[in-house]
Amino acid sequence: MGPSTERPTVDPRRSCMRLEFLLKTLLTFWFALTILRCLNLPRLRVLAQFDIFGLIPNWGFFGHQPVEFRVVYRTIDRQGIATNWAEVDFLGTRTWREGLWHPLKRVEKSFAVNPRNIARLCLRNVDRQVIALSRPYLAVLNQVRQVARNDCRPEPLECQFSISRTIIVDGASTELLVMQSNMHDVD
Amino acid sequence: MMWIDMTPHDVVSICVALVAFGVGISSLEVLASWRHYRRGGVLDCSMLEIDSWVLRHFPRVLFTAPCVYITATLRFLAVCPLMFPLALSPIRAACALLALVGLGIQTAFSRSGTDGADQMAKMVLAAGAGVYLLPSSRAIAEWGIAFIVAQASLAYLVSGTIKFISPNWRSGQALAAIMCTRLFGRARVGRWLTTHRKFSAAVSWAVMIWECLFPLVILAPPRIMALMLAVGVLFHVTGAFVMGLNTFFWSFVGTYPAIVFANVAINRS
Repeated sequence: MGPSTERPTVDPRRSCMRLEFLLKTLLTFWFALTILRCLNLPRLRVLAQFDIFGLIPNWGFFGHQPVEFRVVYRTIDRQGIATNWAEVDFLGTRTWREGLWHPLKRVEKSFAVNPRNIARLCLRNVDRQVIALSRPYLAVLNQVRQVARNDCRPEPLECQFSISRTIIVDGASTELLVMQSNMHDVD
Repeated sequence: MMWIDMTPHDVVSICVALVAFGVGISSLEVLASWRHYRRGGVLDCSMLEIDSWVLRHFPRVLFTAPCVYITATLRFLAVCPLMFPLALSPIRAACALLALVGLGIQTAFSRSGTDGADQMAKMVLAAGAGVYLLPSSRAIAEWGIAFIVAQASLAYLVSGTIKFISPNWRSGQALAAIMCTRLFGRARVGRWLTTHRKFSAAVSWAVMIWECLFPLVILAPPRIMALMLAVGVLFHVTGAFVMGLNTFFWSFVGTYPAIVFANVAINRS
């Protein structure tokens, strides 16, 4: 007697039920993780660290007092003459069209988030050298370099930027210096 | 009584179609702002490896501008069949999964530039992918609807509660301050709200109460539900045109068909 040539039959109904159970468990687990993330417990902050694809949402929008950051920069030309500080103005006037089509939304948000993240590092007294190698710092530097290169001022060689924090209370804004960068090559 | 005739699959398809429209817009927006993803740009993704040790284990080729463009293009192509639900379920399942993966990669690429609209879109696409995988199962379609409703309710509840805890929100100061910011506000609206503090406080309280009560919408009588959802549509239209949060509208209003279905099902039983 040789081995049986008959294939083992797969019951499609049973495999469907298994898949159904799997999907239900997955969605339930996903929702449970979302609740845990929203609770924002210190022990569970590791969840956010691993969630690079942003699959576990945190639904706390606009809960805090809004803080704006201003980035100003200056350049130094080949003769060593420094220009006046000028604002890196990344936001144009908001238009009604942006309610439908807003291509610079992510760019604008990163302009707001990167200085905030630098401010957080400064508040935690992180070493200046470490801050200068962090992603938010390099992103702001990229942005300043872009503006400096397109600047109409003659031959910028080096640039420097400064971040200040603006707190808006009753329509009046108060500014506090967060940090001033070292000089960096424009190119 | 149109909703009674609809199957849970139809309802999930409507939710996915609305969300897919928003994801389509968002993908085209990434392509339109392509130069910011290049080396030296503000969203230069080669810098991502710096602060995430998880991302350091991924191939470097992923952190390049062409990869961002390819992902955005694939995401746009994936959501096209979902906007017009004519395709077969396995195709739709694959498209929803591809769009979900594409949104995840987009989040990884621009960690400082993501928003809640992407997060809600991921939830609806995940539920849609699951439902399309088993088109014959009514149970999984209902589970998918429950997932969408639960996520939307939690989103509004958490958002409302966080505002409610804040004294600045309760006084109306936070809303005026947000409107004064250049990122989310409009100077004229901000100035007006600052000088009309009582109105600002009233709007803030209305938003907080509406958000905190939102989870109850599935139990509400049909007229109250319709009113709550109409306020929701108005809220997101205002968010889109005043604050520039255009894709929030599609992602959050995209969950409303599931909420209506759940409400009708609960009231009927």
